Amino acid sequence: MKLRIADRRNIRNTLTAFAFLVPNIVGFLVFTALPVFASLGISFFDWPLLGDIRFIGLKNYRYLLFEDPQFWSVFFNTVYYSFGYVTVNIILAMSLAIWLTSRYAWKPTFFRAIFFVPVVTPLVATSMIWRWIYNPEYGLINLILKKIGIEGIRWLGSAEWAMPAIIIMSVWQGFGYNMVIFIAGIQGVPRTLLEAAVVDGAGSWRRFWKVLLPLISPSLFFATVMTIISSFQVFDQTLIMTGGGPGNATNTMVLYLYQTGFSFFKFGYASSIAWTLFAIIFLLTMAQMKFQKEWVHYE
Amino acid sequence: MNNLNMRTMRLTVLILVLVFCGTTLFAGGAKENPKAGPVALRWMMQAGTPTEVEQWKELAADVTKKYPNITVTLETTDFSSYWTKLPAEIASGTTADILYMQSLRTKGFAEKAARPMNDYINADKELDYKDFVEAIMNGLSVDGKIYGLPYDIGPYMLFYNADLFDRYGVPYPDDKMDWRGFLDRARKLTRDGNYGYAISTHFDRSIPFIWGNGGVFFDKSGRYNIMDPKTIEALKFYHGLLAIEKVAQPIADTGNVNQDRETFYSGKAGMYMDGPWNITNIKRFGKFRVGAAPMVIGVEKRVTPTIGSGFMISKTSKFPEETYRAITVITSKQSLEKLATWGRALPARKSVMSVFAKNHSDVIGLSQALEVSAQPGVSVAYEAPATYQEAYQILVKNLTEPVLVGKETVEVAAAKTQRLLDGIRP
Repeated sequence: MKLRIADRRNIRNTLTAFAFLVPNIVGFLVFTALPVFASLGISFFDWPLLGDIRFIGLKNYRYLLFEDPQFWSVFFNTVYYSFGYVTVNIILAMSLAIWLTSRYAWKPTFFRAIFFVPVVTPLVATSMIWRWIYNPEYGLINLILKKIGIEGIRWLGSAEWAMPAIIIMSVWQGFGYNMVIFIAGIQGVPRTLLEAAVVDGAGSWRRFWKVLLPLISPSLFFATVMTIISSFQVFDQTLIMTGGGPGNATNTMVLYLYQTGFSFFKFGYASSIAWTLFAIIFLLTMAQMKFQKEWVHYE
Repeated sequence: MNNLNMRTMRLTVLILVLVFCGTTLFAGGAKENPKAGPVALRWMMQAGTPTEVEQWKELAADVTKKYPNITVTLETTDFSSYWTKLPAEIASGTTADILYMQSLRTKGFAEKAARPMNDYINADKELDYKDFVEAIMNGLSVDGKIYGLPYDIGPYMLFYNADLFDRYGVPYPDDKMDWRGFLDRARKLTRDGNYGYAISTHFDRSIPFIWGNGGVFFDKSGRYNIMDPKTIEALKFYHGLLAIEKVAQPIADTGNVNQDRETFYSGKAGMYMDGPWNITNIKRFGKFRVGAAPMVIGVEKRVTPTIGSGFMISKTSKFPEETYRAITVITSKQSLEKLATWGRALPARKSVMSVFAKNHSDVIGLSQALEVSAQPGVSVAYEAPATYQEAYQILVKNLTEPVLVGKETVEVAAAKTQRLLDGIRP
């Protein structure tokens, strides 16, 4: 049957679009999808990288969850980091977003840019700089503390302070992204609603809590979900600033995965850590999606 | 634009895109015929500073001077990253032709990564094989198969800041110094923001103290035991330099494995432990008079682990013979003389070892320190089990770091570490 001209045109258009997409699709399949699914398969093997590969079924997962003496401390370190980072990040980003969109804002365009600059700075470079900022003898923070009469903290050389130090640095690096999301959300709120609340006698806190926050809850939900997902994958800072130390105080799941694979050459076990992390993040995200209807209001 | 032009344009773009995909997918290294003309070799090496990179590049150029058809391209990475990069490249079959290897890690890598050199050496009339130091040749061999030719030999020694010693009127370290003398000097130097000793988070730095006290923390079967009382006593002494005596600099962060070197270069530490391979950097960065002393005499004996390094022919090299020839140039007398002059290596060739001390006579006591370190029973080849890379990480993270930052005592940390060492799966 002869194809109509319109059908032929459609086929041509489709093929053209596909041709432009092919490089990206091929790249995605070869460099992302294939390794991801290969690692799932590898997680059921004992593969010492330089030796023979051997099928062991679920042994890697069993060892990880029930026998590995290091896994649970690494998991709790990751939860500690995530809780601290997400909480401080969201609160700081929201506070600055409200300030920059209020009538009290001073040079909002300038500060919006300044706060966003760390987001686009390479994390490796900022980690190396912050390592020096935290230096107990010569670092900027302890120099300032010394000037105001406070004894400096060991920061990265202290098992107690190393993780808070990494959280602080991570918040500095990442809060600008959420701030921009919140600014966009706040600017989408009709001003008339907030003015009406003023007329009704609502103070600033009530206006924020009862009017503004529910209206920007979709933005808040998005920012929270994305920040939690990325926080569980923390790696660069812990590798460069502390190497997971002192001891294992800042050893997190992705760093542990990296050490297992590339220092201990246990690729099967490292893959099982990766997929366990995926399962944890997946379950957390699903839980958030399920409970969003309790507090997220879509127009 | 009419329909015909649009169709032509789309077809042209489609063809270009598919050609691009095709070349991206199927591009790879061009196949080379080893017999037909110039040979380009890749040389993977560890280097910590730009100075070292330039030094190795000069040796790479020397290969081309002797064999004009061979060019060697140097690829460097820092020491820690080298041991991550190498196994990844071995597994993917993309290793360079010339591979750097440390004697203590040879057992773990040689058979998987390199070709034995025995046939090449036996056929080589030019190579003066007996000139190489036997201990390091053995270190680069496995079951009689020689996997590498060495370029350096390195006993751990003590380097000291002579200016700091003079400032406080403290006698220099010498070959009679034992643990007590060492601690005494460290205490006298710890004042005015300076420290007696620059301590490292490398577990290896505690080994001279362990062995000197009669402790042995791994046996030939590869089993680790750090709960031996003599080992515990030595660990308590060494870690106590910071944790108890406070004569060592506090740990600023555990991400920087060169803290001891940086503290020493800054002039704020009187002594630190390292090998002759780092004299090039000590003289470049340390703006003070430097001295060297043999390892501290332990409670039972003076002993220092000796490590050497060399170069191997990669199993995947398409040009093994040319690679062997390049390695013979890089480890030749002339090359090792250069390395000795630069202070980058104590040569692994007996005929040029004296060049090192002669060219660094400005390092006080170096000659005598090397002589004492070379005495029988003092320098002991450090041959670690194949699982040492994993054991080392466990020792650093669960023993060295927690004790040095004051989180745990040696006894508590050692017990926890022993349980983890027992769980290492071969």
